[in-house]
Parts: sequence; structure tokens; C-alpha cells
Amino acid sequence: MRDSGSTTHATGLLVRLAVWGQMVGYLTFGVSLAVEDSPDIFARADAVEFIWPVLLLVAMHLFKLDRLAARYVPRWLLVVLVLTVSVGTLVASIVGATFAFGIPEALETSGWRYMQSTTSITSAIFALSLVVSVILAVRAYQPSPGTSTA
Amino acid sequence: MEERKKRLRLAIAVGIVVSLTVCPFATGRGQGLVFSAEPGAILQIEFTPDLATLELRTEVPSIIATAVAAGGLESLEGGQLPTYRRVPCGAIDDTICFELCYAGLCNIYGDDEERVQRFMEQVDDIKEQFDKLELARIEAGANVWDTIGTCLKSVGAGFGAAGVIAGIVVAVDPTGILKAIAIGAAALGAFGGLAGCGSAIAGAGSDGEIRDDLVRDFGNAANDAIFEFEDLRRNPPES
Repeated sequence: MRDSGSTTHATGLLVRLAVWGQMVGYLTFGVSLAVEDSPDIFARADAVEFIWPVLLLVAMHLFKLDRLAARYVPRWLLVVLVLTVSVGTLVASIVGATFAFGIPEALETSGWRYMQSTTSITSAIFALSLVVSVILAVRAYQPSPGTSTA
Repeated sequence: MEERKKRLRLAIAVGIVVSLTVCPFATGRGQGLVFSAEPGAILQIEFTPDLATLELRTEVPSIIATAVAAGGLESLEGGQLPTYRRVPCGAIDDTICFELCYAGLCNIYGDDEERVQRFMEQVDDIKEQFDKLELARIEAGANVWDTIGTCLKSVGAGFGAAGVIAGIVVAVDPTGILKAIAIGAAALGAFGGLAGCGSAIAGAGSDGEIRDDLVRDFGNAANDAIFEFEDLRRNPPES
């Protein structure tokens, strides 16, 4: 069997990269809204919406929350949560992209084209995050090379 | 004993840090949009008929309406949107006159003619629908971000709850059924957060229906204006 240290490390890596992927995707779309609304960059979002993801990332690395979670929260629960939130955010961004691309071509303005681009980029980031999470989730359950399965 | 105390401190630290970081934001901003000023003031939409070319040209409006309703807007032949502007009456026996244009053709009529007034009302309606469509797009952008945020916060809050319960389980170290119940409660708390994510996604999905309604109204107004234009062209008012 895989030793518990290796398993904890793999699960911690899954949590760490999943949190990074989600925060990058979230902030990317928020920044795209702010850029569109510039100079009134907080027209559609509070400043706190930009701050808490950064705080979460800092807290995760400062207090090693990913490792603590990997050690004390059941692995299956972590995996399910990470994969579910990854799917949820991907679906949400795809809903946005579907909305943006659903406008008849005759009625497209530069704003609609901007939304098409930004929702596509956000969807790509969340899709990449989901793929990485799936790979790491599988790895978290695989025996590490060189260890005996007996 | 010392090891047990250490584990207890770690577990509590996980729960507190995660909860303090994520839970305060878990309520979200709600589904409504918070603009810092009047939406119209932010938008400053200028209606430019040359920019948005509706692909409509037919002499039978009902066919267009059917095509628009069926989503076949792009398949119709191209043409510019109907427009109007006030011009001097010249030889026309009226005090106020307008130049009505559509698909490159322009004709001048007096405003006493009911069909001219109906044409102008429809053109104004086109502009209104165009502005509403742009507002719907701006709201939808905020809704998408809000939805993603709701997913992250609700799952984060659930995860925080799971962390606290899991920490307690580790600290108290119950056996058998108690541990299973505690882990089950943690999972329940975590999955409870996912309900918020699901409902937020469903809410964002309704933006598409609003867009489709506006596009349909836009097409209908354009059809009606074109109908009046064609009718005026073939049966001009007696001056």
C-alpha cells in the first residue's frame, strides 16, 4: 500500500492546485469585468470580491491549510469536493459563454464579442483546472511507484 | 497525550482558519446587480443602425416573424435597419416631415400620416430593445461572476464545516458509529454548500431566456417598421 505520507502529499497537492486554478479563473473573469467597466472598475463587483481569493491563497500557503486538510479531512470527501466545485465553476462559465455566443450575429456589438472572448478564456482556465484535478485525484488513489502493494 | 493535544490544536486551527477565511463571504452579494450609478449613465449606449444590420428583407412580415421566432434570423437576406430623421418638408404640404429609410431607400413623408407615426414608433422600439439587450449582456456578465463566486464560497463554507467536524473527530477520537456519524455530518455540510452553487447556475441560465425574448421583440419591431415602410412606398399618402 502507499504510505500515508505520500498519500497526504498527493492529496495536499490536489487541494493546492485546485484552489489555485479556481482562484485564477475567478479573478480572471473579475478583472475582465473591471477592465470593461474601467474607469469605474467596481461597477459590477465589490472590492472585497477581488480581495478574498488573494487572502485565501495567502492563508493556504502561510498556514499550510492544504496539508492540514489532506491530513485531517477524509480523502474521498476532499476529492469529491474538489471535483464538484471544479465542475460547478466550469458549468457556470460555460453558461456565460453560451449566453454570449447565443446572440444573433446581426446583433453582435463589440461588447458581445468581448464577453465571448472573456467567457471562453475563463471556461478554458476552469476546464484546465478540472483536468488537472482529475489527474491528481487519480494519482491520490494510485500506489506510488516502487512501493510494494503486498 | 501530548500527541493528542497537538492534533487537537491542529484540527481546531484548520477549522477556524478555513471558516474565518471563507464563511464570512459565503452569503454572496445576492442575485441582484449593484451598480455604482444608474445603468444608463454607465452604458451611454449609442444606437448606430449601420453597426447592427438586421438580416431582414421581405414583403410579408408574418413570414419574417415566423423566421425570427424559429431562430432563423441570420438565414434571411441582408438589409439595413429602418431609421428616420426630421427634414424640411419642401414640396410636401405639411408642417413637420420625416425622412424614412430602409435598405438604402429613403422617402420623405409628412407626420400627419398614421403609417409614418407607426413606423417611427417601431424604430424607437427597436432602439429600446437594442439598449435593453446591451443591459442584459452587462447584467449577465455580473451574474456569471457572481455564480462562480457563489460556487466557490458555498463549497468553501461547506468545506470549512467539514474541516471543523473532521478536526473534532480527530481530537476526540471516537470509535465506530460515532466517527461514522461525525464524518457523515461533515460530508452533509460540505454537500449542502453545493446546493447554493447549483441554484446560482440555474439562475444564471435564465439570462438566456431574457436575451431570446429581447431578440424576438427586436425582430418583431423591425418587421412592423419594414411593413409600414413598404406599405408607404407602394401606396404613398396623397399630399
